[in-house]
Amino acid sequence: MPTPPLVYFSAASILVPALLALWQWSKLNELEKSLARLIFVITVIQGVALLLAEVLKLNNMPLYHFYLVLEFNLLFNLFYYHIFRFKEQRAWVLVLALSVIVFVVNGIWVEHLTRFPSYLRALGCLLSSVLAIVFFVNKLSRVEAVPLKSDPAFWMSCGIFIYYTTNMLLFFYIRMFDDQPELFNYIWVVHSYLNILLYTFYAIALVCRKKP
Amino acid sequence: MQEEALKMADVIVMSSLIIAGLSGLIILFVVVHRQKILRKEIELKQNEALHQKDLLNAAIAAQEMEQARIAKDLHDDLGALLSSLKLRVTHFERQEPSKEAVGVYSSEMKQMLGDGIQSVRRIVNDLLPPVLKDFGLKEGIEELVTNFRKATEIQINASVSWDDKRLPMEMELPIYRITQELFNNSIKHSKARNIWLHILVDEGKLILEYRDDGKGFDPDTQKRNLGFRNFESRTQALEGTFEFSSESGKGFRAFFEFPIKANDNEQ
Repeated sequence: MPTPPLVYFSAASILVPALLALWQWSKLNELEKSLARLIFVITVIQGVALLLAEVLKLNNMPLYHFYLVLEFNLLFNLFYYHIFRFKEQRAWVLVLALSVIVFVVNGIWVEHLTRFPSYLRALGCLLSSVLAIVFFVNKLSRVEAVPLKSDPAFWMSCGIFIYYTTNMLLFFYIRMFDDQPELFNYIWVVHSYLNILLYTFYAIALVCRKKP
Repeated sequence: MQEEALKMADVIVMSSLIIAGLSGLIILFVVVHRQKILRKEIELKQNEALHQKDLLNAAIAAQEMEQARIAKDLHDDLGALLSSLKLRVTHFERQEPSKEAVGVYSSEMKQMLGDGIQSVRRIVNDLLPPVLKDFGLKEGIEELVTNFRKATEIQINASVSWDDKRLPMEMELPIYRITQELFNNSIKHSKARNIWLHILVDEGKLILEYRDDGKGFDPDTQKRNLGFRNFESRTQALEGTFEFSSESGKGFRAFFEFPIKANDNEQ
């Protein structure tokens, strides 16, 4: 079953925010740099995943398991330190340690490393959505001088909120279609649209603020 | 089986799209709500700025009125007196006055100079009452009450009680002026028969309660006069609070509270 072209296109769409981040790197603030680092990680891992699956014809699922843990940790750091502006240094160590435990337990006992990490992905979606929800609740209770349209955190959280809440369901049930590549691809195509939407929001987050 | 799986996939995709729509709506709600808060905040700031401008205008108007009054006093009283004194002296020089006439002139001039001195005293007293400067707010208010009692038939019931510690001058004069303005308002506009004034110092605060049983006014419909805006600007300058209540036919009440700052003048 060939991979639909939209899936490649959605993977390639990360190049837009990645190039924007590279182009403006020296003008980015700490929050934007943190987002840029996440974008670079996504770009590299997607590239390697495509190489493994399409060129070397190898199973790239172990990389996907690893990517999910890394992605959540980067998102957590971004929100915790750069948006919510907490200073507690032990928090990321704790989250990292818990993520590694979840990664190991899930990879060995729950979902095998060679299979699609459906539950791990759904859990990641849930936690990432919570981060975005906390951001929006904060925005409701506080009035700041920066308008929303020029706030990178707002655009980023919009993308994250829509992408992860929607994908939570998709990823939780995608296991059902493991042995039906057509339906798996069908779900994956829907995910691709969301992927493009997320990267578009990331791109807006990188350009929305007037840079000096 | 395949069909069932396809249906299932459709349901999952549809549900996900509904969730996406709901997420979008939540974001829209956040944006709209925040805009609303922001608009309210801007409105509040604009109102505050307008109020501040109003108070500043009131302070400037009061100052100008005061200056105009002083100018009038100087011109009408002292100016007129000095002019007539000059005329008298010129007239006196042109004559070859007899001993008797010198005595009359001298007595007239003494009288005029005495009036002039009185006039200067009155002007100075209006600018900064010496009793306030020399003895402090408590004595100043007591003198004010005595003067108003003499000048009007309204029954003034005053109790001014605190230990004899002086307050900072930057507090004493505005509070004195506020009290003076309260009395003036009641006497000029209220047709009151009684006035009650109660001033006390308690827990680092000076509390001033004022009441009259005059005709009152409707605060919602009646435009605030300059005196009222002066109360507000003076109270604000002292970081105090000012509340009042009034109703047509039910008199007027005002309540002021001023924090007492450390007294640099205290010896």
